[in-house]
Amino acid sequence: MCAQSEANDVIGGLFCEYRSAIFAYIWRLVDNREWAEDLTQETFVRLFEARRRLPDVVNQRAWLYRIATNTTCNALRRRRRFAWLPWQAARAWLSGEGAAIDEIGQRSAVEAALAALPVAYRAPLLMHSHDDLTINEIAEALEISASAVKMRIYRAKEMFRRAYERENRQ
Amino acid sequence: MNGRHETVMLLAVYRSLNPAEQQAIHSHVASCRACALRRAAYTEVDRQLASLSAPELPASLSKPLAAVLAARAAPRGGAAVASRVGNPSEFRARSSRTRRQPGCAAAREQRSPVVFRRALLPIGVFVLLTLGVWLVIRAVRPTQIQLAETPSVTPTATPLALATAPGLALASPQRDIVLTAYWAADGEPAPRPLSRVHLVASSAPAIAVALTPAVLRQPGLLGSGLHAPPR
Repeated sequence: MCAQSEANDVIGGLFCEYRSAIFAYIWRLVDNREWAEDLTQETFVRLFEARRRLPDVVNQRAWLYRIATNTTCNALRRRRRFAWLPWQAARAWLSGEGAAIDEIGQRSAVEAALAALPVAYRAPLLMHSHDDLTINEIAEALEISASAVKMRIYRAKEMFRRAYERENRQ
Repeated sequence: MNGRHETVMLLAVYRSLNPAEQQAIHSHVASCRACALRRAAYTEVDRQLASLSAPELPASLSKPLAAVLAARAAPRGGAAVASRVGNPSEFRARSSRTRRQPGCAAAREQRSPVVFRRALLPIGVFVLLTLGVWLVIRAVRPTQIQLAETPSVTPTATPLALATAPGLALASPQRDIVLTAYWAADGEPAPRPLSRVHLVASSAPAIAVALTPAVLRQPGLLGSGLHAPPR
């Protein structure tokens, strides 16, 4: 009982400390505010449901990012499978004028360049350059090796640079 | 340094390296202009991303965790559950216990009719839609059915097109009906038809029924159209 209440306290602490960061991280992965809000809630619900595993967790921040990334990637995968677009919306989507872009209005070149990256590269880049996670934490969060993380960050930075130059030219 | 590629890769994660690795990179960069430029570029990327402003936290996430959990529990369990979540931990623990207990007959009994009803609903909608369209089109003279103004495809909502295809095909035995599904391929400016299926009256229902799940499973499907090609 005591251990459970201790776990609840830890989860509550993680929520207070990281809710903003996790919300921003998920938002930049899905590019939609309402969806990000929903997925952030889902992340903390899952974290709460998994609180019995807390004593085995070495790095709580990496664990939280892992749950957030998995929750988001699953949601993105589901949407790709079941997204039915009206015909006109589909054309707008193909020409790069999606609803998500309309929603946030005029975004900066940095945000646009970031949004151009595939999620598999955007996630480690955000964790590394924006959220200051270490290579080992990112490896744990993405469930890949440290060398794979380095490779992804390197490629992500190269993609970002190219996308940023493109954005600035336009 | 093991090689140029690895050096470049380490430049990208310079600030996460241990002091020994940083020192090795530092001494290399001092004598290599290309790597110095690259390191500056990666540092600039880090700076740009670090400067991204934090979005304003939505109201639902500004509350304490207990309130967030209660709000998430409400749609699943109703208002009564939400009111019980004065102590959400208790609620979640209780609900997960209920789910995990293998012998919980009450939970199983509650679940099975819901699953059954969920399966029945799409079948019922499919049958009703097909029947409705079939009746409407039979009421109009079948020879005058104009599914589209021109041979070009009029896109319609995909599930509706697929669901109504058998009815349309049955109701217009004199004509073929072409069902076209569109997918968007990466990097292509416009969607392209990847599948065209001629639904002839006699075989149409079977084909359409067989086709539906296969088409719906395809990723990136944008829409479909039905049209009657000119004779």
